[in-house]
Amino acid sequence: MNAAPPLWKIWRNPIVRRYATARLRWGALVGWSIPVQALSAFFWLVVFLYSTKYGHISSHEAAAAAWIPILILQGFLWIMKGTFSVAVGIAREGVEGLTDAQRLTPLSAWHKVLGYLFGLPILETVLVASLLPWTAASVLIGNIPVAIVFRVHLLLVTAAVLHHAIGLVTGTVIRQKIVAGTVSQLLVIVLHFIVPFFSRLGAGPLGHLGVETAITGELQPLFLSHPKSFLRTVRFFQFDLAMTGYQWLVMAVLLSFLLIILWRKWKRAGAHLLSKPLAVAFLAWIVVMSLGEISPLVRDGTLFDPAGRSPSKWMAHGSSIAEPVARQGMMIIWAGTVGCIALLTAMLVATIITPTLEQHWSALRALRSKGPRRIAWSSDPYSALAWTAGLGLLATTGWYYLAREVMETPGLSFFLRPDSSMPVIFIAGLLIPLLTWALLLEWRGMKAAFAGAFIFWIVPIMIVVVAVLSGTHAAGWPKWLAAMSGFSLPYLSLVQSSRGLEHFPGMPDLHGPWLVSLSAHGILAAVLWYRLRQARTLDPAPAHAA
Amino acid sequence: MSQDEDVNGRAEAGVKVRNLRVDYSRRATAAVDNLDLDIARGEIFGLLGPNGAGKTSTFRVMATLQEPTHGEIFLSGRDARRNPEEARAILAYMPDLAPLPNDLRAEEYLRFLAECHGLNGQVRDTRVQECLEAVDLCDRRREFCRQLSLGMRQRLVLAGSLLHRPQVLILDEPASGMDPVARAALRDALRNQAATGATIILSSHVLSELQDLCTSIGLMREGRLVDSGPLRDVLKRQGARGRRLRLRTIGSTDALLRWLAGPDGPPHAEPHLVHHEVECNFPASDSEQAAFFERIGAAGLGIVSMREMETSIEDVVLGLNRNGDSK
Repeated sequence: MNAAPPLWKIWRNPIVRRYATARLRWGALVGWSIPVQALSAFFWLVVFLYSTKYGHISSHEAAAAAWIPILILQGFLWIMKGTFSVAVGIAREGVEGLTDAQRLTPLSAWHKVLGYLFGLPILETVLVASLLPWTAASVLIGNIPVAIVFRVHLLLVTAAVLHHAIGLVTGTVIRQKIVAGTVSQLLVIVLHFIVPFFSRLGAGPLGHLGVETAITGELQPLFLSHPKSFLRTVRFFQFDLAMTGYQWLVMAVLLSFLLIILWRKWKRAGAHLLSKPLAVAFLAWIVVMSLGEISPLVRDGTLFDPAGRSPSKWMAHGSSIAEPVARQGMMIIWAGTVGCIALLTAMLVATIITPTLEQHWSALRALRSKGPRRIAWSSDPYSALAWTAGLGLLATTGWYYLAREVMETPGLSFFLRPDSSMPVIFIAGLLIPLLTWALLLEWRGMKAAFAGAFIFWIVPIMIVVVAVLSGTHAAGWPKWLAAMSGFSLPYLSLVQSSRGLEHFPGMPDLHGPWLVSLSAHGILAAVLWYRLRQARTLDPAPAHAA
Repeated sequence: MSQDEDVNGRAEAGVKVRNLRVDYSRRATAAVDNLDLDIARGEIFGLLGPNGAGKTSTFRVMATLQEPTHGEIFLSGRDARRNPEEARAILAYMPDLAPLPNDLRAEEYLRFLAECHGLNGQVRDTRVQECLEAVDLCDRRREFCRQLSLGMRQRLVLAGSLLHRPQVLILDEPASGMDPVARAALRDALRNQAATGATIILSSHVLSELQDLCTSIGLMREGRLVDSGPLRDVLKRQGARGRRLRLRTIGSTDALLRWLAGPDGPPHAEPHLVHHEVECNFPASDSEQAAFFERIGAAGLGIVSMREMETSIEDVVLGLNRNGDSK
């Protein structure tokens, strides 16, 4: 019997061939090609003819401009429609039990990952390829340098594969066709339209998950005699990196993590999405990327004043607050939000690696049959608490670095300064709520943890917002109720470890709420830890029940 | 030494399971509890037991679809837990109402499976044709899977299972939805496969079919293997524990029923009427049976005939159910 085809020969992969058979039937191909070709012809000709006849530009430039709608159409087909097809397709296979049947074939896990990754969106890939003649027309008439064409397509292909991998993970995890498809589309919309907005507020790396910025940077030399450098380069710590290369690298790293997730799920259906060491590496990568991109924005002062549109000016406008005070207020809110996002990110990664009690018991029983052994510390069923603490420290390091840099940068900080107790208070403010979450997650599972977080951490903030808007003074009971939320602790910890707050008019004393909230979370964590320890022990002789 | 022989040159069992345990939660339960199985090559082994006995869990673990808590599984000498991909190359698993891709035609589906097993070109097409013929679906080859009836779908899945000439074939309720003709075709296909040396393990709720087909059986109850071995031996052992007698009387059947249920009758007799005859359990030895005959003769109940009923698989499984319920 012949062996499986080499991995790189994608076109010989049986799963790719299976989808080529199913999705490239004449009916579907013709049905999709007619509108796609009609639209591309329409947009290309309209842009070209309008530009040459009414735009008073040369036919070279007009042809180059006509390439843009073709790229947008290719991006829509490949990234939007392709990702939807992948997410829905793999979710359907899971629901119908076909993934189990596929699991039984002797193809390697990598064959299966690549087979589905390139097989499920094959109709979209063919449709994108069918638009290449229009690209060729733009390149030839517009004298577009081959290097630019290559770099743009490299970005487009990488982004498409990355999004398909996101769709594949979504469909694998969610296993409900409609929900998986909807979530995948929401993710694409968020990555391309919502996240770039936040990237301007200091969440720099998020801006590089979509390819629009880099492709715009690549295309602008075709139309501008003096291309804007900020679209061509990225400042990473003190280095200026080429935007295309940097973005490609960001996407390639993220794609690698997604491929590892898929490989693990094909290797063993019950495996966690990432192993514990890889989860730490993933968070470390996020932290380094965030620091590398945000700290230059802090140093050159553009973080709170992008292109002169300072939110603090808007805050100060029409109020009695002086602009420097408003700017310091923005700084506190920003640094507290960074802490909150650090906490949320660590919670999310901890959720990936936390075992259920069933997994723990099963591993204990398996070991019991082999004599007195311990569960391997990096294996899936091993308790995630120590690893979560590691994740918390990593997230705190990033948060501390940024908060301190913001407070110590001349021109940004007028009177706020970090206290020497800041590292300890930051660790407590992030680690204690994080561990409380992780303990609840490990003891009672994901549903209970999410329900607990919603009821005790989010609902109190919602109540406080409504109360304050209805005229209740924030310094009364609202500040105590808000402090009870774990998401408030990063803000309170920041306030607690900053000096110079007396310059804020009417600043309430938050020491009491901070101390009570921290103590309450600490006591809750201790109780949860005790209950978890009890729950983890295994009955000496488990009884049978079918 | 061939791959099918162990270090001493002895032929490996078709399927060897050691100390297999499957759990689903902490306290309640072992769905499969320290199961040991040895099934020789060429055997058609029926795994029987009431619902919830642990059959499907055993099948899924043997088919490498589910991780057991612990235990070892060797399929034709290959360690299915350490090298699942190697085991899958010689394994076929047909679950109850197996899924099919509705967007493929019958023949395309088989080609896809053949390619997954490394069959390509002419070899693939020939094998697809052979398997379609084996399940009598040649005239339906161009139909989409979604257009096939339930029985035809089952036959197509069986064809897919036979494509790579598996050495171990695991079938969970393979006859679901099949008409009598298709069932006969299934029996022939499985016998032919076993004749090539393949080990076949199956479960079915159509117990009479298993009796015709299986060369050996295993009985499971509450996750444990209660008995296993050649069909005739198991029936004999299980029958000895619960022999049944059928009595015909010219007297009152009510009087006979009362007498059997009373202190002179055998323990756990559970007498009942079957076609104007009285049937009862007789869990006793031959000497006790002789003494019973003397007692019942002396009781003046008008007995004209007594027959010991042959034990069937159905009786054995019903017995397992009764024992489970009485616990």
